[in-house]
Amino acid sequence: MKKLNTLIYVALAIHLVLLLIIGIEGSNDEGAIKFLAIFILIPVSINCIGFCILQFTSNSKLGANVFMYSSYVFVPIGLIGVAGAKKILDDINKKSITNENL
Amino acid sequence: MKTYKIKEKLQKNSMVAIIVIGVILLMFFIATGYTLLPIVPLFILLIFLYYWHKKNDVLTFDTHHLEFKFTPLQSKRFVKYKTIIDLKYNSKKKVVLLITEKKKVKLPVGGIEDQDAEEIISFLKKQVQQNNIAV
Repeated sequence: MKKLNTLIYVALAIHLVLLLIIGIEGSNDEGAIKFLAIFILIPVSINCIGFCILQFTSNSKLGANVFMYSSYVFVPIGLIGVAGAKKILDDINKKSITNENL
Repeated sequence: MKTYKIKEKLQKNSMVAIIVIGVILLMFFIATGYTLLPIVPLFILLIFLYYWHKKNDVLTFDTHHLEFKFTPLQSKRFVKYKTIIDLKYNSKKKVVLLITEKKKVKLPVGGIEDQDAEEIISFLKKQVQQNNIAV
């Protein structure tokens, strides 16, 4: 298991809590909140897929991109996730630039 | 390696904006009992930006390349010194246009202290001269 930057963990936790709150509200409701809960489930699942790719595979670039694009749905709170994913992408770019210079 | 932070004036301005918006939100809440929801995202964003700018350097000059990122949501741009062919400085907009072998990169030096900006421009001009001599 790799250690990712803190923003990714914080963002994922916030998105999951958000889904949980809306899910609980939606279970008692038949209207808009239930629809919202189902709608939010999709980006949160993609978020989790991105997180798993980041955490358990070596393809960090793909994982960060998946995580970043699915976090855009949750703007403004999703900006934490976007910033975290951008940080990972920047690190990858920096590594490749430094390797080119060597 | 040399690093630069964002202008102090800009940081102060965002602090003032945070205070003003915070006061507006509080007054609205006291008066009506409701939160002014459309302004809350802007408020969060401003706080996030303020702390990001306080913590991070916006421009870094490394041994072989320069890197800059002026906002947290912008991708970090990397430019190798040896690839810079020419540069143009727009003093009105305070933007340096770095013309590299592959692309043109805009470096907004307006976000950095004026003295530092001058230093950066002269350093980049030196790099361009060196590159042209090498060619």
